[in-house]
Amino acid sequence: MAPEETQLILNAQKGDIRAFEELVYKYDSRVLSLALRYVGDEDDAKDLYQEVFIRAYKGLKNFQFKSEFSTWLFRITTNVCFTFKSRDKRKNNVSISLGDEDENVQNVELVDNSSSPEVLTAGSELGYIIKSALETLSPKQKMTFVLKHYDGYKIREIAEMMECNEGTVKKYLFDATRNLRKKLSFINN
Amino acid sequence: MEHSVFKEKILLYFYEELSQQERIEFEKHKVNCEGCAKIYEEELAFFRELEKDKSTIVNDRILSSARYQLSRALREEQKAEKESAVDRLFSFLFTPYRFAVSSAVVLTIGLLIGYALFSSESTKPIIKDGNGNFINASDGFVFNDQVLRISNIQFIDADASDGEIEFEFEAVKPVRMKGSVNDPQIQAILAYSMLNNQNPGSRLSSINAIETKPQVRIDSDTKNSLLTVMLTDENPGVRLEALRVLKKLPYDETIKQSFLTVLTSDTTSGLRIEAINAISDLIEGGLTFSEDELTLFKEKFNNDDNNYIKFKSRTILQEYN
Repeated sequence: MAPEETQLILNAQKGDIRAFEELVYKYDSRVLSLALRYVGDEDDAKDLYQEVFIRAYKGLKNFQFKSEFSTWLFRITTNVCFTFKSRDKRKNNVSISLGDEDENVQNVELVDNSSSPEVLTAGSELGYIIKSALETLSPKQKMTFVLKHYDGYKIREIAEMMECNEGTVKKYLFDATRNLRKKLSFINN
Repeated sequence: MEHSVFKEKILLYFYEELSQQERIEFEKHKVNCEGCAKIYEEELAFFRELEKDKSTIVNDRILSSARYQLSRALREEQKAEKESAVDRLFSFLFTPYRFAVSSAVVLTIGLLIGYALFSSESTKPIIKDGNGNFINASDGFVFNDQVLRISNIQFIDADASDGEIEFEFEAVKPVRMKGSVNDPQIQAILAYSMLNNQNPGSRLSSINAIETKPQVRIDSDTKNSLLTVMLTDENPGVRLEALRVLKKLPYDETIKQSFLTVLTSDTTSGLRIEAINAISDLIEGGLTFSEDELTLFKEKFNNDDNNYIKFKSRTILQEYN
């Protein structure tokens, strides 16, 4: 951990809110990006982002430098993601069956976000298709895939963040990739 | 390498999780085995499609809006923490314990007065300083000062049976200052006040004190305090006043970004209007915008519920097109 970061953490632990905000600004775009990929809705992602950093603020006094700050923060992020429930009931949910009988795959409920195109990857059709396919994965498969594919974390790091062993992460990742490949197979055809 | 091992490793290969040795063996097998090479090509096509979806999805607008909301939530949280500490104290005082505490305090004060009136001894009180050393207060440097405010008295030894008690308290001396608004010390106090004073009127006065002087030189700490106030103060009047002062400062990127944040995120239309007017003024001074920032004006033109902001956004876009 860089000495400046250690100093910022120590200051924030003493209640210096500006030091905490400096820490936030180092990592918050990654947290927001992860949240946005995970929930797929801008308002929900901002709620999730806020919840992560409020929890970090409250829990920082218990941070004992046993892990990297970023790992600790992303552990909070993954926990918040797993327990997060969308408060926005305005979304227009459209149930679509893709005919997948794999028991690892949850019931498919594609979210029609056509009213918020900024959430999609530059409005691309592929982005929308991938986002919809991600919705069909289980929370842990989806989280593993997002952390690996979009954020480029190593399996070892993801295991630390999700508090499970590397073998479990590999299984989530393989299942997620296999399920996505099935959903996206028509792209190649 | 066996075919089954190849199939197991193929995902790890694409996710760059294989060791150097494993990579070499994997690639060697791929070249020599037609079946596995076909599987590899299929996987490659799939991963190439996925790669196309890796563009950044968080833009400045979303990030600054999230930061703005978080900043306010953090300050609310800090305020709530302070209030809950006070609540705990009150809840303690308004329970049956309070009677015991009150009785002990009254008894202690009674013993103290009695001792002061009737004791023939002339024991001088002693005071401990911030370093923990006892100070003899025989010169009365604390007690003879009429403007000293004493608060938060806590008894360490309230038992006066041996003729002595011990307690600690906070002594606050009000200070009156007079000087130039350009003085760094005065600006530091005004900055502290605008950020921390509980009373919005006092926060407003602290900002006004800076604004009233036409040629005021504001240091960077005061500027940062003004930015924080403009973005996070709970009172719209205080936020507006901070924005008006910032408008008069020399242009820099931080100020521009903060005005854009107010324009996108503040819930009070008056502040958004003031922000877009400030941005318009900056344009006359040669301000330029990135593509993302221009998109923001397009969104304002399409979605803002205030017609003036729509109009100004359109004007800015027309100037750029």
